[in-house]
Amino acid sequence: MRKALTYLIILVVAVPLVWWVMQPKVREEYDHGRVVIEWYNYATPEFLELYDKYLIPEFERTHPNIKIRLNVSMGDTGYDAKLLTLVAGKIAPDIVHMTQQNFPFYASKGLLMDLNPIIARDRGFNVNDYFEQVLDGLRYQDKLLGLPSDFSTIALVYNKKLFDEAGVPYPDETWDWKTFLAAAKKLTRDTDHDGTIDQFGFVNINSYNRWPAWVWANGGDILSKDAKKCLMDDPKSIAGLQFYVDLSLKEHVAPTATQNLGQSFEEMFIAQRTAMIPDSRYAYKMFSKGLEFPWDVAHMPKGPAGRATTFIWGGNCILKTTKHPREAWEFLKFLSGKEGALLNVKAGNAFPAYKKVAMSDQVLKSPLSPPSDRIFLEAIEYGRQAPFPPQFTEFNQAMTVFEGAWLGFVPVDQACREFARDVNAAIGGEVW
Amino acid sequence: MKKEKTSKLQRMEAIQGFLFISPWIVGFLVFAAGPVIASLCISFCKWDILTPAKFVGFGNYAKMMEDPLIRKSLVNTLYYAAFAIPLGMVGALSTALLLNQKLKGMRIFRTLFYVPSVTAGVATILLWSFIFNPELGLLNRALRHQIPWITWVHGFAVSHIPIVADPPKWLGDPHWAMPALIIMALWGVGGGMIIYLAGLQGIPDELYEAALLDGAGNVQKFRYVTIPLLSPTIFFNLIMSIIGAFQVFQTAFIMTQGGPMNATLFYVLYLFQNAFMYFRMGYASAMAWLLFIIIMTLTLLQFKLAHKWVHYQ
Repeated sequence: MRKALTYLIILVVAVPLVWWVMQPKVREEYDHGRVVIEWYNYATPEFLELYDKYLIPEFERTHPNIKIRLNVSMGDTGYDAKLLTLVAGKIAPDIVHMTQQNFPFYASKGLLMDLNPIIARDRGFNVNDYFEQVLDGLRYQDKLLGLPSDFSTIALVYNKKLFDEAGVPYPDETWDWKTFLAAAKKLTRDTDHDGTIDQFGFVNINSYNRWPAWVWANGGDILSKDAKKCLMDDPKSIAGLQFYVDLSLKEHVAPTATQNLGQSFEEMFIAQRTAMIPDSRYAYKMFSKGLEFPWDVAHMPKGPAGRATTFIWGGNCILKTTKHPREAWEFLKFLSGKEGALLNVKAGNAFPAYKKVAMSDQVLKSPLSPPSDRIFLEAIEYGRQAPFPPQFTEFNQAMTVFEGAWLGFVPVDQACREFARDVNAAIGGEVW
Repeated sequence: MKKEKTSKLQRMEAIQGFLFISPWIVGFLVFAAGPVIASLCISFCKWDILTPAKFVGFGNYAKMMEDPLIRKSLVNTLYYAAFAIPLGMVGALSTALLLNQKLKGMRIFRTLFYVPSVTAGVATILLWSFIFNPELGLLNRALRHQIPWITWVHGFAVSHIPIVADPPKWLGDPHWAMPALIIMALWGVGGGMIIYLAGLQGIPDELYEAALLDGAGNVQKFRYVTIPLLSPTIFFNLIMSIIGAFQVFQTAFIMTQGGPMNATLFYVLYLFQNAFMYFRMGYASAMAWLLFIIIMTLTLLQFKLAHKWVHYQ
């Protein structure tokens, strides 16, 4: 009797639980006859509101046969982990938001749909409506794997008041590394004479979407054109990075990693603890509460080999697994086209990748725009995207040695050589 | 007849016992056993979640042998364990001894010392990153604090000299990041302390009285009564601390991300990075099984050695 009861309990509790866990989750593909397109993205609350109130209703109004379902994820590491779980669970979304940072991974895994055949058939769509350089960022082995929606180059954002106080002329077209360093020296000050620096000329941002600019401006490069060889051990690459690292460790015109007092470079700029920062137009959102000083934007200073900078972007890609490529394409076009561009303008989100809107007064003369806002757009002419080989993991791991270079524990030339050695060893090998 | 009755009772007790732990058993079978077996299979495959898994035999294990970061993360973990475990055990035991005194308001002290180990991990970790901030942090400000010294330079004079003129940059320095995390680990001695406290209170007073009558002093009482009777508790804490040290993740994940220069790349953090940043699920699974083998070996070894020093009453 008791035995039977035990088995009964096991039967009642465990079996349904196991059965429920084993059930494959099914995504609904239709809703009242409309095709459901699921859009996976990373959205801050302000964006979410714009999507819910403006973008999605507008799209659904003009496309009555399509319903858009948002799937929002927060958090940097969580974003990719959740997406991969959805894909592995075979309930993948149709369209996913990507940036220059995670795009190469998905592209190399063959997860994204090639848009070239669709574009060839779609007469109403013109590739030339988009900035070519940014579009190139979404190309992988002759395939176009998505459309950019927004982007920004990195330029020199500076505090005019601090320049006036130090009696330094504002940065202009003529600035090269020498004038830049001389100005930064004058802008670095111990304002209360207590022996510690209170105001810096510049801030080094040791992120891979920033520092390659200094290597390029000196005539060096990270990878060869075909991405088969790492060129960081080239003397020009080393010297470029050396100049950059010296800004904080030798010339002391930029704070070291421990001198920033826990502030981000943008917080330092807002607090007037630095006169210049290398920043993107995405920063305007941070400045939207109003800065207490006049400020403007200038080109990055010219290096010995000319001017160079990086750019960053956000865009959307269609997953190969979608059951409704045609409807997904309609929504993708909408997101990157005029309507999506205007939404980005409304949100104050850098530049739309859609040229006509990006170059309109609506953007360049927005309430947030400084006088030389246009420079962020002009810089795309010489802007480049920091490259990745297919062996990201090894590449990212190799980059750890630069942490030592930024902090002064490893000489720059040694760090560059070790990096090149590790990357070259990885490029030859299998992607694990 | 008699025998059968006992076995019936035993069987009933066994069934009841299983029923009582059945929530755990069901939970384990449904949520843990499957993944555990799956991870063993995955550890023999190359799998990035997106593309189908490919069988590679011992490929992942072979790759681990030549991965310098595996060695680095193991060395880091051992470094941490070598300091954090003894410090934590001594810290917890001495705190427990102090809090075992019969004084007024002892409950308040016990609560105070226990609170840090139950406060939310992320909150305390952020608190400690403020403490370790090289410029503004509490610790370095205290170290830089100037104290008056009487010095002799052509006669006596009072000069103000900082305790440490150039204190370490803690988490910003590859040599000091790990010591910082070890210091921080002492914050959580409350967990071990409460177990020692329970063990101490389980020691009968008669034994101390008997020892006193035999002429034992405080040190001898501690050495010959407290330690032997507390040995099962010490043994338990030792095993848990070793397992805990090998599984350190949260602190490094939030405070340092393994940096600077992999100085705080713990084994489990590297495992997590492989699984959820690099999406090398097969490799991460193989790492998990190596960790299992290491912890299992250490634990078995301790049980083997235990009979030499652990006394059960």
